Amino acid sequence: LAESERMKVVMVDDEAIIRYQLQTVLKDVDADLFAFSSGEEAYEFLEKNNDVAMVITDWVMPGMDGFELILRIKAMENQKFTYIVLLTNINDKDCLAMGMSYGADDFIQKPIEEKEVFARVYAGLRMQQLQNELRETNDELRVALQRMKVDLIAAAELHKTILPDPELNVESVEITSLFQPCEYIGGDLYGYRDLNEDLFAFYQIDVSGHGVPSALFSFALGNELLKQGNDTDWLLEPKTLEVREVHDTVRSINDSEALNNLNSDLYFTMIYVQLNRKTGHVNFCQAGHPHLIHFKHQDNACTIVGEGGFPVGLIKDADYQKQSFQMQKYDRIFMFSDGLPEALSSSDEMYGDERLCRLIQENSHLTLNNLLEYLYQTVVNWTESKKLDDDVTITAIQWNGEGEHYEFHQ
Amino acid sequence: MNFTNKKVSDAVLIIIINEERLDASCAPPFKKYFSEVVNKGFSKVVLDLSCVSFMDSSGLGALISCLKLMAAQGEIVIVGAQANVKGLFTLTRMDRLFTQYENIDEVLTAIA
Repeated sequence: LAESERMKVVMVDDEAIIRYQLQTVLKDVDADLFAFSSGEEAYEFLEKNNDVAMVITDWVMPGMDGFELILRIKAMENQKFTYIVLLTNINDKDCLAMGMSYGADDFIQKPIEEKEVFARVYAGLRMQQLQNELRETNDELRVALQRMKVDLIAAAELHKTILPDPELNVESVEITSLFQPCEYIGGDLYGYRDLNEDLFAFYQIDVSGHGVPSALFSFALGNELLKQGNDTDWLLEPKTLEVREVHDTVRSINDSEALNNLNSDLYFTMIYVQLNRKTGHVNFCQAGHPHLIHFKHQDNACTIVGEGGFPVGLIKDADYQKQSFQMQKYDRIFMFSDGLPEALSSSDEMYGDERLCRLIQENSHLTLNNLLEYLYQTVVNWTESKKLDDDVTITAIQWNGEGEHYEFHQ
Repeated sequence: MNFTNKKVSDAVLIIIINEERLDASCAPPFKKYFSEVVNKGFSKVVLDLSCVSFMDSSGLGALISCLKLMAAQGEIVIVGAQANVKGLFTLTRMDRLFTQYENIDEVLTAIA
């Protein structure tokens, strides 16, 4: 050890002979020794020195005795980790117990036995040395972790820029999304846009896995999906701008170069929906994503819709189908990533689609926004933890029937 | 991670997943295990999932990677899938890629 890094050992005893004995025994220990004849003097020294590794103190002393010194040391911010050895005159069990409760770490009996003193001090210092190293490593880790958290929070903000506003209220259609990554950033993604005067498109995507790799994948994918009206627009035909059928869109994403170029083991599940705002007719393509829930306003009842389908990016040339149903005025559609129905209770029971349906029916008086918050919170409560351990996205759409004035949002 | 295997013949290998969850933490070691044991030229792998009560997207991805690994030399069949896993297979159409059997005897009869 370099001179400045040598450990300091403080010795306190009112008897000069004991101080002398200790100094003699410990002269070969790799530490600087400081001897004091009273608790007061030692205390003064400890106040000024932050790097004391060990205090060896007598119990019975005039003025400040060993117990009081220990109590004071324990209250000092700069001596939190100081190792304390108490010298005891007699083989007094009460003294041991009391010393221990005051915060002494070890005991040496007087009269001093040289080998024992050396061994105990040596072992104590070794422990201090190891603990110092651990503390240093911990500090480094804490700083590194903090830096990573800051980075992840910044990345999460960036990720959100490819998501549309969570609430949109356009003529005849209300839409709300709830987006809750389980870590700082996640692989879920959602989006919506007008395709033409009649058709409103929305999709929800869940990239396999979670955390940073999934988030990067979903960010790349989200950027591709945002490209409108050019060669890589998956939603519209490149030249004619005709609306592609839902299953054509999903198939072209599955076959696309963009996806292959990502060259990743990751894939994703997706639901892509086109709603005709004039008629309430729905076409959708389900690619491995959980089923849709269709809430029927008139009956106050839910239907689970969907026949399943291959995920995207998993199997080349996979075949995808279009499915359809009809909405009535004030009907709602719910899409959710699997993190929601698969949330586990403390007894490992999944929340499941049926409970979700019941919640949606029983709370149909709520606005979409409040309903989604309520759904999410109810499922979190089900797990009896603070958050779910998978990314969760829920999107809800309400069709308010045929309006008179349509605005075309492009 | 707890995986074991049993050789039935030169062509057929049974792999047993003794894990309750085939998820993000289990998927990579499983892929590695699979590629190591199947490297020895089996044309049919029977995957015993009877212990697995939950499989997530990462687990499913691992099974597909294994299938791709096998593609040249043979097939993977599934035995003993529980309700949750079966549900996932139906939802994602994986039931079209993996033949499923209820128990080992059924598989061995079918193969023989």
